[in-house]
Amino acid sequence: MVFQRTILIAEDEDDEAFLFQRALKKASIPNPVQRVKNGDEAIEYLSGTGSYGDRNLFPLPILLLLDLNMPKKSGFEVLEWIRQQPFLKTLAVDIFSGSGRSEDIDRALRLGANLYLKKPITLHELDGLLQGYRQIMVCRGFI
Amino acid sequence: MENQRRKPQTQIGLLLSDLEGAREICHWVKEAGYAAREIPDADSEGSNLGDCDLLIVSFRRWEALRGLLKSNESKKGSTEPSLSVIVCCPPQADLSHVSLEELDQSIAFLPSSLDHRLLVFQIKGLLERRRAEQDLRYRLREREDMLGSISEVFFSVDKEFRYTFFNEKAEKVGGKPARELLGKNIWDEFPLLKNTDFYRRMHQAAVDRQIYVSEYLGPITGGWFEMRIYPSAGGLSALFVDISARKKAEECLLKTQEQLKEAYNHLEQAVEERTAQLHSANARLEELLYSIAHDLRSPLRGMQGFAQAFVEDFSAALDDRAKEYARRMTAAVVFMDRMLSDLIELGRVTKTDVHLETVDLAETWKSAMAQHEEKIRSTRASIKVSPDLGHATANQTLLVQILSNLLGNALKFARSGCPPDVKIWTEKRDTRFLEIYIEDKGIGIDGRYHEKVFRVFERLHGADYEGTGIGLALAKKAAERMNGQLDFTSNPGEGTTFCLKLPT
Repeated sequence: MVFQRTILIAEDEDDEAFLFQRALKKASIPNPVQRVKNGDEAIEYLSGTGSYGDRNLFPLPILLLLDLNMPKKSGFEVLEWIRQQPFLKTLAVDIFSGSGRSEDIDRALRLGANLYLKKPITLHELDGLLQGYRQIMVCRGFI
Repeated sequence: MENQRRKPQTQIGLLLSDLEGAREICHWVKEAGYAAREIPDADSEGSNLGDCDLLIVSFRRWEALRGLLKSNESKKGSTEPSLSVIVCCPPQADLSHVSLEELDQSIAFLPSSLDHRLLVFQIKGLLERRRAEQDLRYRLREREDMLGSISEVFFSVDKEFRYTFFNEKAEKVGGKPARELLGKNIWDEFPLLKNTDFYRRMHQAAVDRQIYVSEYLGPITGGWFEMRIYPSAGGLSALFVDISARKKAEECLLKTQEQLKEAYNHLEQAVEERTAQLHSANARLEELLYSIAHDLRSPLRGMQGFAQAFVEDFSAALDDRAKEYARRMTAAVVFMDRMLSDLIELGRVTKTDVHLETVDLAETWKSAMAQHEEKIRSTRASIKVSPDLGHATANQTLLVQILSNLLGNALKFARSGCPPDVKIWTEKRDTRFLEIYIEDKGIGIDGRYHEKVFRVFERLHGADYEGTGIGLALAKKAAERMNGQLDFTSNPGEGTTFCLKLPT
């Protein structure tokens, strides 16, 4: 299996997912991207069950960009589950949420999130944010 | 005339055996206040005998007077020659009240050798006792009449609990006439009374001779009485005052009180429940506000994102007007996002626990200024800070929020053409409060809008001045969360002075 350095995006809003993926490209983050629409799907994908059984089609990601507010299982629940799975020990989980509440930030970091990014309101700001984020990706060896 | 006035009801006649001491006796008797008359030997008629307390005659006249006193002939001593004194009653006397046996024993059989004076005293004592007895009898009868006619149950018993008196009311309540009861044992006549509180107290009073007063539910009538038990020399008396009406009123009152209390408890409970409901409804609303504000941002990001992507991706096909429209869409979205942020902030200030501590005001003001650094520089604002701002008991975060808001307003609402002129100082007019003043020389606030400025989404100046209309509502809420107050005075066209009052 080729080491693809896949990024998995867990985001329930189609528009946001679309604009985000567009911004990733614009920020020259070249990694292949997979997207799931809720917490349950995220867990299925990561554990390779259900419709995500084929690792060739759905490779194990190196990074999960996780929204917190999602239908079915929330981002917190997914995060909690991930940190209990030995085989996902090396998976980086960055939170990408609209919430700026300190209690949400604290909780996510306590549950083992690697990074917490607050979604900016304009695309312009997002572009700026992702430029900085690209540097972090490089440092982590994800690019 | 005096002797007439003091005349007793019943006469007592005195006969002496010889006249040697008779005059003297007569004198003594008169001096004691009684009507006494010496009947001379010559008077064989014995006229007006009935007018006197004492009748003094010579023994020699005894036979002559026998006819007049024939009712007393049978008296033991009357024919006894060895006796020097005979006491007897005239026929008019009501003998039923006189203890003649006693008279006979103490006086009638005195030997003739007895000193006359002593004899007179004895007679006098006898008469007084007689009179006292008479009075007592009268008073007793009066009292009995009175006790008999009072409208409360009254009776007396002797030491063996036998009835000695039983009044009319008692007859009525007991259902038995007094004449049947007198002399009979109370517990035999009214076995219902046995082992009642009355029974126990009667026995107690009989032993300790104390007066007992207590409330008592009578078993005969089933009514409430105030029971009074009085010990006397001869036994016990009992008075029962009917307090059924009072008792009923009391019970009624007690019942009403209980009902009131119950109603009050109900109300209390209802209020508690209502309050709890309101609290939870409030909490739900705040939660809803937060999630609405939060959820609204996602489509906002979409709107703005696509507007921007539109311009970027189709730049070549769009003219400047199309690009300007897209820019305005972005501006509208950014403004709405700020409103949502402020709303979320307002919810947070309302909701979170506030911890108060001693806060350095100069430092706090610096933090507030830092948030407006850019604006201060660009407007070339003059900001004068009093050198001794001191300390306040406050929450650092909330206080920065308030001061930043007020400073932001002062910078924003400057008169056109004039750089903002802001002053901050503190006053301590009252030991209980610290007052923080922030004054600007801006456009001021019309008095008509005094109430309005602190309301959410109220904007007085429309599009000329940017703002979400939440800032002052937020500041006031923050002040209240620290048990403080926020108010202002203003002259339109001259400026506004805000006063933040914090408890010390």
